[in-house]
Amino acid sequence: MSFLLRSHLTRFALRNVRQSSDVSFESAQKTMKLMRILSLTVVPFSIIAVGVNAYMIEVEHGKHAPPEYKEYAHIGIMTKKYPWGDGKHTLFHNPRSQGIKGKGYDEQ
Amino acid sequence: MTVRFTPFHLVDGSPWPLLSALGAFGVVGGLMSMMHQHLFGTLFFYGGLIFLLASLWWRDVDRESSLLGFHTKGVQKNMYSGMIWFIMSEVFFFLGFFWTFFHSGLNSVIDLGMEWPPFGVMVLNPYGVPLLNTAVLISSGITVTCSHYSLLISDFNSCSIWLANTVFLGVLFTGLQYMEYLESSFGMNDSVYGSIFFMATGFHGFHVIIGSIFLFISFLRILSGKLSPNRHVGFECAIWYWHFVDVVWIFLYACIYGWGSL
Repeated sequence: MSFLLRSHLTRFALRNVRQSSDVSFESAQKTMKLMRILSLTVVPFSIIAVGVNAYMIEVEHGKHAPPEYKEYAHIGIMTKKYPWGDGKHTLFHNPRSQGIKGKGYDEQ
Repeated sequence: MTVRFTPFHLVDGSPWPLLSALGAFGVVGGLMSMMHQHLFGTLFFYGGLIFLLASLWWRDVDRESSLLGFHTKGVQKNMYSGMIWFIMSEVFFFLGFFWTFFHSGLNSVIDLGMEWPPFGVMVLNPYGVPLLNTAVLISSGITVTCSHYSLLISDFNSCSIWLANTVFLGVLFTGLQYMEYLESSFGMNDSVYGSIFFMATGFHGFHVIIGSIFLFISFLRILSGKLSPNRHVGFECAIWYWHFVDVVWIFLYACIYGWGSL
């Protein structure tokens, strides 16, 4: 019974899962030409443009001091200590803008 | 001795499955001991062991396919199907995280100020580094397609160059995301927002690292002449996985960085 099911599934896979090498050489060449143009123009241009914008945003963000530290019940939840350091700092703790309950920011 | 001709690969005995299962057990044990304040030693040891065993197992698969010739067309098609099913399982894995995000975000509870993002959480600017990460990943999707089609027209030089570019973009994404993690003003324990943010983006980053390694291995196999225009199952599966990682990021960006910052 399971042999019949397996043979049906195998026949389905062999018939219906198309391999990319089924494309013709000419069609692949045409696609390659388009992809090469996109990779040499759109890709570097978009990364540079968006990168410059991101850099300017980060520089602007760095000029502002973090807001005054306030304790909230839902922020800095600590029901169990972390197994590293003093157990109160998250793995990617930011000493400038993430405060510790009962202490505030590490860097003022 | 009777020889039976089938289109399937009846594998020889191998120690890797059993050792990998024992290694996975050790990883879970290591995670548990880490969560009970013990040192990371167990976790790192078994994590490294899993990495080694996976490399040895897949080294055997590479030899069986390219050197020993066991991978018939039938075996290849089954491998393609297997990869599709694996990617489907990963889709459902991420679906759970998106479900959690919208469960908490669409109906924010009184403890969070009945608003989303929660009161007191300063979200990241979606037009900064997250947008750059989006551009990087979409660009890597274009360069990997370039690489694939170079292989199809037997241009092995272009194939390896574009694949190297793709791996570079993947590493660039990981580096940018790491810097964003260090810069963010909220952590994983800052309400359910921080928790789901770092779970979803953290697992996505882990998948980017895995995808980059997969593509890098394909790069090495192209350099060593093991791939051809008609035979590149591993390479194509790596490309599918990479496109999946890209699509997950698009959804992450739109839902968590985009909608989640409104």
